[in-house]
Amino acid sequence: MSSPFPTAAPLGGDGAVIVAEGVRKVFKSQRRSLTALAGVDLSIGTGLFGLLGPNGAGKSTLMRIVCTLLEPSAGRVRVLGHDVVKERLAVRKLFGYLPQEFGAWRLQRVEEVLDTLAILSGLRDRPRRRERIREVLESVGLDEVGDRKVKQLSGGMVRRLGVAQALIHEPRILVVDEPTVGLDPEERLRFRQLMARLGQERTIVLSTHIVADLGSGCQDLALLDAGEVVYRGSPAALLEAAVGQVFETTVAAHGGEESLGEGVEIVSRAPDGVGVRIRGVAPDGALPAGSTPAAAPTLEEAYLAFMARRGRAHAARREEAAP
Amino acid sequence: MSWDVVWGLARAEARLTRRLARYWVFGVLAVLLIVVAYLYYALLHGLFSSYSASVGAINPRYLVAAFGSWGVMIFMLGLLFLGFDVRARDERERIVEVLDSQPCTNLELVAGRFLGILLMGWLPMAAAIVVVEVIGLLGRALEWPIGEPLEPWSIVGFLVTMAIPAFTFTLALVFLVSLLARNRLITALALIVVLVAYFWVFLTRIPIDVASAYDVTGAYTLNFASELVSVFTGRGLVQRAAVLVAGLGLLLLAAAVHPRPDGGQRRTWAAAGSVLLLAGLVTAGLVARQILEVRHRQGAWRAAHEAVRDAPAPDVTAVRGEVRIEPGRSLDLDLELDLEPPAGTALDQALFSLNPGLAVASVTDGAGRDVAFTHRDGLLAVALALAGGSRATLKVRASGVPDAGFAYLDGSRQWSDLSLMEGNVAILGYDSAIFDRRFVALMPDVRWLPAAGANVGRDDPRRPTDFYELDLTVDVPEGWLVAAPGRRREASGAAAGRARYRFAPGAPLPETVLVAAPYERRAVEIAGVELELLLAGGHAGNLEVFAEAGEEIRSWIEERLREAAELGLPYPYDGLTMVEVPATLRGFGGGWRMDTVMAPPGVLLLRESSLPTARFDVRFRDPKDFEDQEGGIVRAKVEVLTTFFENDFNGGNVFLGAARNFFLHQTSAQGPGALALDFVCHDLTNRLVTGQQGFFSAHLFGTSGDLNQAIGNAFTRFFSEPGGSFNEAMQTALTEQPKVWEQALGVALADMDPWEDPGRTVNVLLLKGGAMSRSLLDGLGRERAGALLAALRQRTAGRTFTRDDLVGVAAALEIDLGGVVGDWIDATELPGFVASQPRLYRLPEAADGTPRYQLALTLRNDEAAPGLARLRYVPAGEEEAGGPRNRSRWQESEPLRVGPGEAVEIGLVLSKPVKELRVAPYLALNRGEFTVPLPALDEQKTVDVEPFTGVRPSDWQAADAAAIVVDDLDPGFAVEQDEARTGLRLGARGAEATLDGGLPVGNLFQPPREWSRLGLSEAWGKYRHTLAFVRAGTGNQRAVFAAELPRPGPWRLELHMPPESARRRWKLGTFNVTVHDGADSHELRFAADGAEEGWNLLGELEMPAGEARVTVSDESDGRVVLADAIRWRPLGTAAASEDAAQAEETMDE
Repeated sequence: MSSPFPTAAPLGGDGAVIVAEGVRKVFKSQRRSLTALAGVDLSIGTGLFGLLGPNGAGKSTLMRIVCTLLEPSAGRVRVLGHDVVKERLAVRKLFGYLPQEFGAWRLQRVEEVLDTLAILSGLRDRPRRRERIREVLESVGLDEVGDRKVKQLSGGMVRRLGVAQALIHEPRILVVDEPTVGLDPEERLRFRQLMARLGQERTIVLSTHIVADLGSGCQDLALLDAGEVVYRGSPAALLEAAVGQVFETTVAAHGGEESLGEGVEIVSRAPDGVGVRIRGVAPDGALPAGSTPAAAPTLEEAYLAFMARRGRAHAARREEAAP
Repeated sequence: MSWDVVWGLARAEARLTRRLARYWVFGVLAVLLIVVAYLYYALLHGLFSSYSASVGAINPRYLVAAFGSWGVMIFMLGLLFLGFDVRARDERERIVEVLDSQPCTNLELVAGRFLGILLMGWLPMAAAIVVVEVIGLLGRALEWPIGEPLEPWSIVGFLVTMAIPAFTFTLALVFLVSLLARNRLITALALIVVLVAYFWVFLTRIPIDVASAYDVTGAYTLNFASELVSVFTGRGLVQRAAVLVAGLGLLLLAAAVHPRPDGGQRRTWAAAGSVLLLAGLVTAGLVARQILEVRHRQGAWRAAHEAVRDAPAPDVTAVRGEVRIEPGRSLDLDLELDLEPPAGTALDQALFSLNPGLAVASVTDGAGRDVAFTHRDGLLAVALALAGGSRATLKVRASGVPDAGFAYLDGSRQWSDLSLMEGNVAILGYDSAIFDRRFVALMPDVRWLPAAGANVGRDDPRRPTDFYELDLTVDVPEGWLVAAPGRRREASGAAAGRARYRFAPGAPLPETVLVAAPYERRAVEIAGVELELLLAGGHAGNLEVFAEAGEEIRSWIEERLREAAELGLPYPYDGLTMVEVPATLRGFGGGWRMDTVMAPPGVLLLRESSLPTARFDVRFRDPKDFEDQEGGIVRAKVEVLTTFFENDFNGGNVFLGAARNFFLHQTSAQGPGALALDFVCHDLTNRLVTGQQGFFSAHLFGTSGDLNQAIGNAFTRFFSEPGGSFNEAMQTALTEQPKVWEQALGVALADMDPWEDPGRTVNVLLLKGGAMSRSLLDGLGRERAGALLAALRQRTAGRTFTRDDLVGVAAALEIDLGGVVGDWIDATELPGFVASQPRLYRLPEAADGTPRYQLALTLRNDEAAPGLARLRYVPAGEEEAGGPRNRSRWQESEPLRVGPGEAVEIGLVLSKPVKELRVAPYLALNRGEFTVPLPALDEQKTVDVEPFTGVRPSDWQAADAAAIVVDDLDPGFAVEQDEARTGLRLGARGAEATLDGGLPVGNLFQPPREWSRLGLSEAWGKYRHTLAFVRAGTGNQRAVFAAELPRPGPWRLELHMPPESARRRWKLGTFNVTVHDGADSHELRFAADGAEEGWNLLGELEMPAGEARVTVSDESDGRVVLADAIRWRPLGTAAASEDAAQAEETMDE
């Protein structure tokens, strides 16, 4: 039996699966124009790729362009050698896409939704479809609710259904946009584990403003801000760059934080006896008096430190707090 | 395009659709509508089709397109509310981005969803048909009184060619608009506007024939279903294909405008969609154009024939020859025509009408020499000179397929004049001729045989009807039977696989019909006439129902034939064939008259929905029902069969049709008064030969409103008036209209131009002509009336007659026509009757002890024309016998002839006192029967005087010289209104069409909001008995009776009230009456609820001489206010007292 999926074009010489070159996207209306992407160059290989950035940074726009839902105003994007504008259908066959806002037909049962989307994705063989539905439902933990109507699912279940639909046709590339919005902590943890597992065998592009979503499985990431890629590299390098910028200190429970000085971004607070144990980021490396440099910054702290260096710490911090 | 993707999406969409509540609302509604409509038709058909041949037209077996169209229309609306969510729902449920990122094209996406919804829309139609079919099959299997399975091909037609294109087009349009508008509300509103506008234009603004080209639903594109002809027509299928293709074009356009980015084939789809849409529209346009071309051709033909309308034409005296029919393919004619020039003239060419679809191969003379000819526009002009008094023979060979559009070129109503709302006449069929591979009907007017002269103006009274002898041999495929004039005889010389029949009816005829199909046959010979019945296969069931009455029916027919022969009117041909034809065959002719064409000479066409399929079995399910009936079930079956045709109002009454052969097909009138002469002679023949009366014109089938009103009025009359058939009730309902009377009173029959208002002319003829024939029959008696017709037929058989011929024949028989009916052709005067108060008293018992009662009254004709009337009365004890429909409760006197200005006293001696008494003029200014109030009878008092029986002259005068009466019909009566009513007035439209003497015609059961007139036999009136009435209001509408008082002094003012029995349906209260005498006014209050029948005192007033206005306000504490008549009587003079006494004594109404 022939595979329902297209034979992917060979990876680029550098192993890139997705290559964006000078991608610009300008939204024009009668009154004004808004530049969402201001010339993005990006090359994404196999594994879990993180696309970080505050809201409005252009992540979703880039995702939509990669997924063929939007056309770039300039530049080009190729996915496994296919141009996302000229070869839309070929590109779509390679993708599984979980948009930021996902819902499904409320009157359909879970299995029916998956069956329909599987057919649309190219899974024509009915037994194979049945099998895949069972597999993906199991993999996202929805195997018990396959015959339930979508309107009867919780928000988390719907999100998992979104993952299931994105995986139903075993895509080479999975694009997930802000996947954990609205999930409770347990579901977010489960989601990270799932992404890590899936990232071992395919390309996952995970767009998020929640750094923790990337988890340990992410070995490559890009930071997008104001439509530009401001960081491109591994999480380890980002962490390394943050060393000396992240501090720990204990302050008085009342008014203690004010003593840390202006520009300091507090990442976490934990009660410590009569005071509060604080971890934070100093924008320019000038640690507050009495604080000690943190030995092992987290990725979140590294992201904040990076953004702080760009003077965008507030924007990044605000988005981090949002969920 | 991947079918898997489309189908997968279709399944998903179907699932989604069926889980929507609104789908079930529309689905259940559609199924219910179809099933209920079917059951409604089935119920009416099952229970009533045996009562009237017209009711058979609603046989549900053949009407799936009609009742199914309700379901289709409902679901067209439903599709709007299902399809408008095609994109909005995905956005609402936030799956739109996932869908948009799928590797499928927009076309697949749109097509899949389209298919899913289409399927779900179609399923209720299929489900409804299954339900209906199950009911029908069960009904047939279990012999239920209702339920007929649907004609199989009509099911296919409904589900495939009707529903699918209709839904495809609608849904695709909904998709396109929703994807363009991207807003459900805007989409819904826009499409509702489009749908409403479409149906408005479609139903009311486009001619009926052209409308069928743009029929989205398909209801007007499919034929009536039939066992004889296909439900599909070539043009119909093309039209449905056009709708389907246009729908698919819209679908492609919807895919092209879908906002989802896909593989970039938008332009291709847009182009393909545009092409398909254009192709569909162009094809529909071509269908319309083809229809218009037919109309154009007809226009050209008509113009060509109008140009030679009055050109002299030969008199065809005989038509002989061979006709070969290859059904659906060709008609071959090899004919000989014997010709003469018209009397006293010579011709330099012979002009015929011959169907333009036939190509004339040769025309030769009697010696076989070629004769020059042209055949253009259906006019065959042969260069054959005919000297006066000479004779010639022409041989004509022609072949082709007759063009049905050639018939009825001069119909006073054409399809092009009618919108669908006005197109009820289509119920009577629309195919002027049928030349199908399964069925052939060559109607005379299609001129498949050459006919002398132009094919227009054949009902022009100035033009003679051409009668000829016929001897035709017809060659048809083996297994086919043929109906044509006279007896069908096997003819020799048939080739293998063919059959030949000869028709030589043995008497002249004016036209020839030929109907052929593979029929089943039954035949019987009665009095030398072969009666043959040709039915479609499977339609012989009713013959079994009537089998046991066969001998009775045979005897009945034999008796009619014998009686007709004894009257001197023998059946002229050697055979009479009743042949079944499909409902699509047009049953009415052209000209101004639009008469039935269902009864050509020697043949009676039976609609498929009539005798062949009516549910007589239901009527005779239980023989016990007829055990107590006189003559038992056998007699009942004969009566049922009789009333079945008697109650036909679609032109299919076989008795009236058969009666045409006795006179109308043998001779006809020409010249002044010909219309009336033909009508009266035909009507008289009906009454003499069949004992029936009846009349048909397609003018009855006007707008739905007109038709429904006519039928409604007929039903009201049928159930409220004693005796008579529904057909008679229909005639009365048509002729009692004020507008008909106004024309009848204003124009003499001889002066009527039928083309001025053909419909009204028909009604006037019906009114006056019908009364004249009744007068002749009753005035002369059956024998003498028959002798009159017989002598006329004998003298003029095979040619036309004039009024002078009739007068001459009458004179020879010593019949004084003028004495019976006056100058009824040239004059407009009518008699007018007034009656005295009757005398009713008990006489001494007869010698055998039988009680005796004397009834006497005087009847005066106050006009200058003679007239006839009868007394109708109900003897005591019969009031409730058999219910109000029982004819026998009413008894009639002999007709009473009353000369101009004369009075006669009528005396009846009865064994029972009379409870109701009416005077029934035949035709008089009274316009109908009127009730004569009876005096109270003192049973204890016996008056010992000589009984008076019979008629004697009287000098009784009805006038009350001193009294001044103002009736609602008098010039002194008027209505006033403070200001014109404004605002929405539902039902006000068309009020002008039903005015009676300036007031709207009121409805007895629905008191009007404005003063209206109502005919009521108990109301006051010299001749007509009417009153004005209005629903109680605020006092801004008033009825005014104005009178000129000759002298000052005390006057007694009275108001006339109908009896309590007549007014109890209205709740009357107190009337507010004002009397104005020019200087002063007097306010009077009249308690109408407790008023006496007749004249009631309003007051005694001192009045000056001059105008006195009595105003009756519409303000009342009751529900209705009446204004019938007022009477002023002077007080204080001997003359007045005397007058008053006399007036009390003689009730002159």
